[in-house]
Order: sequence, then structure tokens, then C-alpha cells
Amino acid sequence: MTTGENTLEGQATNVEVPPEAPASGASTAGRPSGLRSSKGYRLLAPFLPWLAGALALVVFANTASPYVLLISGTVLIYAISAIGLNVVMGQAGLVSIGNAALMAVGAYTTAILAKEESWSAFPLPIIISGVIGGLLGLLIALPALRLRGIYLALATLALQFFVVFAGDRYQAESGLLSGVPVPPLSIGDRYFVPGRDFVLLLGAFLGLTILVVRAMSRHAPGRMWTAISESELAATAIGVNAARWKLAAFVVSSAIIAVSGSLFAYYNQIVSAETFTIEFAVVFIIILILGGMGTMSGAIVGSVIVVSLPYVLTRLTGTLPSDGIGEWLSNNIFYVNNGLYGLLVLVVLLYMPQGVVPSVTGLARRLAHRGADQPRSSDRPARSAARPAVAKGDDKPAVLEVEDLDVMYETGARAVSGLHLRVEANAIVAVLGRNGAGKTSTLRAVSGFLGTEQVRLRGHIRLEGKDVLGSSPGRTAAAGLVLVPERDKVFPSLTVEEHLRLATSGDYRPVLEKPHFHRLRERLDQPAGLLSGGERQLLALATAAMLKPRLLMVDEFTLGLAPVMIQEVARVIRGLRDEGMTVLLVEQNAAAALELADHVYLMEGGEVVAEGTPAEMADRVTMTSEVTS
Amino acid sequence: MSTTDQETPLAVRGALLRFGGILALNDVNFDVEPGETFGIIGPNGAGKTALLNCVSGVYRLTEGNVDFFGERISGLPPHRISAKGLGRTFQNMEHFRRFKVLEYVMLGRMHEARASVFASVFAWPYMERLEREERSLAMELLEELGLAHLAQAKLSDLPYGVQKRVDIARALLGRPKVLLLDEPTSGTITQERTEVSRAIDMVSARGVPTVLVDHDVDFVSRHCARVLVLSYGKQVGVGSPAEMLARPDVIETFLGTPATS
Repeated sequence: MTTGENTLEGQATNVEVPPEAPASGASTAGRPSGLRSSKGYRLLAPFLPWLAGALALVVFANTASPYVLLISGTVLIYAISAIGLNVVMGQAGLVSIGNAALMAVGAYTTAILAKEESWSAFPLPIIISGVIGGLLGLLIALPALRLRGIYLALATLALQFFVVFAGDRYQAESGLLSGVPVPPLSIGDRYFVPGRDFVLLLGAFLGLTILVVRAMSRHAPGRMWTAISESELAATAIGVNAARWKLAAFVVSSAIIAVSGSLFAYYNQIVSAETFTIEFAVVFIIILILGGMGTMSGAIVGSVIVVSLPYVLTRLTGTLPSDGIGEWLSNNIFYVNNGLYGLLVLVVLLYMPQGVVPSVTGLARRLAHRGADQPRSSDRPARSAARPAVAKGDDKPAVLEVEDLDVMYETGARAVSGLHLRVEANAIVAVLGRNGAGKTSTLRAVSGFLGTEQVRLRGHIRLEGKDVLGSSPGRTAAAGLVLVPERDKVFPSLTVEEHLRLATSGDYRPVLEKPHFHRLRERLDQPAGLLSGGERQLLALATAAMLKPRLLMVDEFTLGLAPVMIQEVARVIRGLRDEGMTVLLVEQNAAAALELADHVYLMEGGEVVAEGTPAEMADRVTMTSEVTS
Repeated sequence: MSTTDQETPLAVRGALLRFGGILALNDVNFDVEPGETFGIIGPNGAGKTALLNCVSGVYRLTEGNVDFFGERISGLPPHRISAKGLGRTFQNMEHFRRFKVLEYVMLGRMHEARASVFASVFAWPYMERLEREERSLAMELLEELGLAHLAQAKLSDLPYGVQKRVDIARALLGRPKVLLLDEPTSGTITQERTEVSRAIDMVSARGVPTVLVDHDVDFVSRHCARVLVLSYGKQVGVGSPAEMLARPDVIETFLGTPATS
């Protein structure tokens, strides 16, 4: 049944922009449309994966060796537990390290009940374990209502210490220091010991777990959890009662995990506090990371990998020669194994950050769509051919030349399209436009702050003739480009003096001799966090000036400044230009920019809609700004 | 202060919002009339989105009230306000990138669905039927907006203009009594804007009173008979777009200094 589940979820994510492709068997049945669906097929389709899975498990259980069956039982129990954890971590996005503790609670509950004549009948201990787990989940959920991320994780860890302590005490008082024995699971007069039957039983439990979790995640609860994990605040703003659904996630998850703990007790026939360590809890997080957070198939695949890895390793060392490397390996198998886990997690995090299952299905989808994607990339050359490659045969060399720049965020937002921009040496060029016009995106593209990961960049950005498109901020800075950003332009805890020292290995004092930076002299010992907005701007400009940039870019210097201060900062910028600097400004404040600039571009909706001298542009800006028409 | 009458879909009185030492909103007052599309304009940082967030309960007003059909809603948590029938869209949909279009639209009905984890497990057929009804309603809305073919696409794969329309569909599925639209044109290109515009016409045609917040003044003027102009959290005035845009103080708000012309 595991494989059936995999393909089903894989297909569900398979749809990019299809006309009307039925996504999976289940949703075909739910939808009235669909041509290829004869009535019988439609009725049967949802059950096919289940039948296939059950059949596969039966065949497997009857053919596998006892050794493999023994391991498979553990895999199945881990998978149930991981699916439970996935409800909280993968779906609702709440980090929890309480897994070991919850399994311990289920295991101890079962160990205690299984000894009592009147409580030991199947499935009573398992159900009661689940109920107690659910109640504990309610308890863990309380901090979750207030805490987030690493803090929540630590809060769930508290449960770990309580449970291990309680378990230790119980074992000590009842004189069972090496563990509480659990009588084998029996249904009627049939006893279950690790082997074929137990694997089938565990398979049934896994199937039930999948069924229950699927029922929830396919309906409203799943959507709520996804919404909360994406953004709790936004989710509440559209009507999701975040507290209630977080509680629900913890209760469901904890109940499932406790049930897996109960099965774990029956399977191993002993319960000991030593088993349920923090490492044990972390194993389940590793399972989810490896397999793929958020999918049940990921939890199952992750369990298979993590549980079987040590056994596979032991097998491998068995085939090696018994001296030299082989001997060393079998002596150190424990460490090698842990090292491999670490390595595996690292590789997955670096190269498949979503986990194994989503990466594999994603790859399949990309391969399937490759043909469809190709024509899309070809519309580019046609467009740039329409424009001359070099704008004008100007004699003045350009410090910055931007041609045909497209910036598209992965969210689909088109920030900039087909942008042309030219900044000549020793000039002040201003890019004007209102909020969302694409000005800051342009600056960030030029300075290399748009990692190519989240953004699609196309076109040319030449800094003194060298193409810097897609370079890292470090590279563009080395090429002589300095950006004074809109926010976070200074380090609040460093003093003014420390800022200036950072910028140069030599003497920083000459810069303060310039009349426009006088203000800073009185503030040398003060942390930048105490400076006013205008003073911060001055400090940022002074630091930038000391770097002797080939091009200085200033993002919205007027933002939040009083008119007097705007005038003062404008004087500083003009002063820097007079000393030979080239400046690119990005501004919403048209008046300030028109007064300062030699050349002005007007941006709207990601495109340059007009350019010219400030005199030419003054009318244009008034006309196109939001006031008239 | 007593609440306003029950005929008025939305009434904001003396809204004041303080963030530390900053007055994000300072004495804002307006009414939204039945069936009206009411515009709020102002430059970046004027407090437009802050105002929407106060109405929908994401921020708590420092002073002042918001009344929804005569009922005080200021101070209630956002999901309660939403449950009363106040819908909203987002300026940025980056929050919900993992969703597929149809799934996301169906989030809109959440407060109505008698959903719980127990119902989903123990009353599966009943919940499944509810789910199917919601799904077909959502599909109808998507069809009306010309987005039905994208139902299974992932939100993060779609252009902004489409995302904004999907968000409108999601809000409409909740059958809002009042709808707040937060910057539906931000991040869109001209052609997308026309489509968003059509979606807003569809909302107006349904007679849902709407508050349209945007920095694109032309866009707002096209849809609204009355606009409120905000500047640094203060209300410059309320009136027809033509009337407001002729006022010198409004022009100054947008150009930053006394007009050059």
C-alpha cells in the first residue's frame, strides 16, 4: 500500500496548467466531468491504490526472510509515528521534538494495561494509549498557542524530561530496572510475535492511519493547517481560527504517535526509559526531512531509509574482507552509521531541500514538461532584436548600462520588464516612480542582491563595460558598486566612528573635514541606533563615499525625512558628485529628485515610460503622476 | 459612543493607531454605503493598509471604533470579524504559495463549513458531500473570473494579476457582506490590471459593498464614486475623485511638495 500511496500523491502535484486533466483517481471520482470514466472504473478507482498496496504487502510478508520481516515491522511502526509527527510539523508547520516522549507514553500505558486481566484485551490498550496521547497533545498545544519555531520546539522538549523521569521512577519502584516486560499482543487466542502476521497487522494499522490523516488533510482541516503554516496572521485575517486548528493538529498528531508507541511496546515486548532519548525524537525529524516534509509518502520513504540504513550497512561490511578496512568498519559500525545519517541529511538539505519524495516527483514532472517549456524561452531574442543593441553612439562613457532587463519574482510578480537605463560618468541620474513601479527591484538587480534562486533575471547589466548580471553582491561591490539601501543602512549598535573605521583601513578623518559631513563629527562616539533618520542617511553616505565607489546608488533617501533634512542630504549628494562621483538615485519624491538630477527616468509598472532632463520631465511627472486624467 | 445604524455596512469613527511613537492613523472617519465601492488612496506609507488591517482586526485600534452593520467589531479577533461577513484580500499573496488555486479559493468558506477533524474522520460521507458542494461553488466563481482552467495550478506558478483575481474569488466564496480589497493592482502590469479591473466590476455587480485601497489613482477613480485621501495617517478629505484630485492639498500629498505647475 505504500507504493500505491506514493504514486497517488505524486500525480496530484503533477498538474501545472493543464486544460482539464483529471489529477488522480480519487478526484476523478469526485468530479462530474471526465471522458474516460466508465461507471465501474469511477466507482473502483479510489480503491485501486489501496488494493494494490494491500496485495503488495501480503506478497511481501509471505516471501520476505524473517530477518527482513523483523526490520519491516520497525519500519511500519516508525512510519506511523512519522505520519503523526508530520501532521504537526509538515502540515501545520509547528516544530515539535516531543515525539519520543509521546511514544514513551503510549508504550508505558500499554505495558501497564497489558498486565491487567480486565484491560489487556485487544485493542483496548492501544485505544487508551491513543486517548492519553491525545490529551497530552492538548497539553503540549498550550505553549504552541504562544510560542513559535525554536521556542516551541524547546517547549515540546520539556515533555521529554517529564516522561523519561516518570518512566525511570516507575521502573525503579517496581524493580524493573532493565525495562517493563510486555506480554505479546494477542487477538482472541492468536498471539502476535515479530514476523509475518505482525507485519500484516502493522500494515493494517498503517493503512488505517493513512486513511484517517488523509480524510482530514483532504478536507477543511488540511487546508486550515496549510494556511496556518504559511502565515498564521494572514490565515486568521481570512477567517481561520488558528488557535483551534493548532490544538486539533497537536491532538491528532499526539494520539497517532502514542498509538505507534503502543505498537512499539508490543513489538519489542519490553519498555525501557533508555529507548526514548532525545536522539530517538530527532530520528523522526530526520525521517521527515529525508522523506519530504508534508507528505505521508515522504514519512514512509524516510522511515524505510532511516530504519534500514544500519542493516544495509552491516550487510555491506559482511561482504568486505575481514581484515583491514572491513575489520575497521565492523568495529566502528555505530559511528559510521551515525556519520552517514549526518551526511545524508546534509546532502538532502543542500540538494533536495524538500526531501526525497517531492524531489523525485518534481523531477518527473519537469521531465514531462520539458517539451512544453522550450518554446517559451525563444520569444526573448525576437524582442531584443527589435531594439538596437547599443543605444546611441555617445562619446561620453557610461558607468552603468542596463539593457532589456527583466526581473520576475517566483511569486509571479513582474517587477521590471524590458528596462533600459544609462548612467554616464560624473552624473546624477534619478529613477522616479511610485511604490511598486520596479525601482527598488532594478537597484537590487544591479547590485546583485536578487539571488537568482527566487528571481528570474534576463537582459544585460554592464558596469563600465563588464556584464555583472547575476553577480553576487560581493562581486558587484568589488567592481565598485555601492548601494545605500532604503532601510537598515547603518548598524544600530556600532558607533559612528566604528562605521567609518569599517569603511577604510586608513584614516577616516578627512571625510569629516568636508563641510557636508560636519554634523557627524559631534556624534563620533554615539551608536548609530541613536541617530535621527537624516543623520543615519548622512552616515551611510559618508561610509559609502569612503569606499570611493565607481557608482553610488541611493534608494529613497527622502523617505521619512523632514523637508529641511531632505535639502541637507541633497546638498551632500550634490557635493559628492562635484567631487567626481557618479550617482544613481531611486526616488518617489519627484520634487527632490528633479532638483538634484542631471537626467531623469520615469518608471511605471516595471517599465520606463519617459526619460529626459529634469526640465523636460517636470511637466511629464506632473501629468502622469496620479493627480490628473 | 453609540454604534451607528444597522443600514450602514461599515462605519469607521475616530480611528487612531499608534505604533510606538508613530501615529500610523490619526482620526480617520468614513462610512461605506450599501452597494458602494469606496476608494482609499494615498502615497506609500500613508496608512492605507494599516487602516484595512484595523478594520479586519489584524491590528487593534488605539482609539476609535469600527461598526459593521451597526455592530461594534473593533477589538474582536480577526477570525471572528471574518466570520461575521467581512471579507478581505491581500496586497501580497506570498503567504499562501503552497496552495493550488482551487484549494485556496475553498479556504474562503472555512468559517461556514462545519469542519472539524472528527467530522472528517467519523462523518466522512457527510463532509465529503459538503466538500463537493463547496468545490462546485468555487469552480463556478473561477469560471466567472475566467480562471477555471487554472484550478489545479499552484499559486506560486501564476502571475501576480492572476493571483489577485484568485484572491478575490476566495473572498467572494465566503459570501462577504462587505469586502476589503488591499492594493489589487500592486505588482501587476498594465494588461493584468485590466483583468483585475474586470474582477472588481464583477464584485460591484453583485452589490457587495467594497472598500478599494490602491495607490493607482486612475484605477480607483474608475471604480469608486467616493474616495478618501490619506496622507501620513491623516484624512485629507472624502469626496468624488474629480473633486478630490482638483484640491491643492491633495495634489501636494502626492507630489510631496507644493505643486510645480
